[in-house]
Amino acid sequence: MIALQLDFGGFRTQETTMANETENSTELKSDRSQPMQTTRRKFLVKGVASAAPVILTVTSRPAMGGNFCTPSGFLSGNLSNPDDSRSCNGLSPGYWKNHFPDRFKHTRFSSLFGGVWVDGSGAAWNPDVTLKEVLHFRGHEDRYKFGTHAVATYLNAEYRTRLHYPMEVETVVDIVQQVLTTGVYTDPSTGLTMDAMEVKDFFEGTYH
Amino acid sequence: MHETVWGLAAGARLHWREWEGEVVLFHENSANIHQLSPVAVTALRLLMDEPATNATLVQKTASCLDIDVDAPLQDDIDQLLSQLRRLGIIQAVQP
Repeated sequence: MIALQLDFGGFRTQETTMANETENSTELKSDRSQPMQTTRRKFLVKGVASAAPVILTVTSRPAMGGNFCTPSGFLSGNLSNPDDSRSCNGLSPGYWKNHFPDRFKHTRFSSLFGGVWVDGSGAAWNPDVTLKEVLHFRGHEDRYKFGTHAVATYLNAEYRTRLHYPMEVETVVDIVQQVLTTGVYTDPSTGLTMDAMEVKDFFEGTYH
Repeated sequence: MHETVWGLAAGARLHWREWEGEVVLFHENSANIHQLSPVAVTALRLLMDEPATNATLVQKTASCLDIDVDAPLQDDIDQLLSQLRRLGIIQAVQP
């Protein structure tokens, strides 16, 4: 997408950075004290009651990478046109439920990921729940189905050589652990973050 | 699992422009330009002032705009936080 050249000169610009926040704070505050008063209510009603998006991206840079099988690739390409034909060769929770590897049958979710997830009401799981049991959870037992997809993605990573699956076990574990402990995963290469639902969507996108 | 506190992403450089009530945001780090709704403008400026959780941001935004805390506002804030996070404009911060 060609970047739109906008002339920002001639209008007051409010610039703020973490370093310059103090320097520019007065100007920023004074601008905020001059709201769109005459048309404020109209736009408020329009903004809240309408179905318009809260943020509309007018122009964006082209995607930095086309690899949607990694967190950075997924995050970088998310604002562009995702390639719906991509396949990362992963197997779904449904497959793993019916072909669960014996060697993991006693592995607890908490032992592997350093914590537990929650059910639909927000109540924490029993710390003794196993990976196999998670795959059999119904929707209300596993918020967003995050746990189910975490287990499936972990197993895909364990068998990544056979599956030609791009993510390593350490990466999957790190992603899940961050979500369990902080609520989000932060990708180190982009600085962008994903919450549990977004991570679930990302994991799901890596299946056949 | 604790509730996430959101704040401006470290090093984020934002430039605002306003034309007759419509606000455009230029995010220098990504070279992206975004048009923001009034709710988005208010909420983002509140986050720039002070990091906040989703729930706190809803309350503060409603108070600033003198509107009710209702489902549409909650949806707007949910959507806003998700988008701002994906755009790299905000990040989870230490409470």
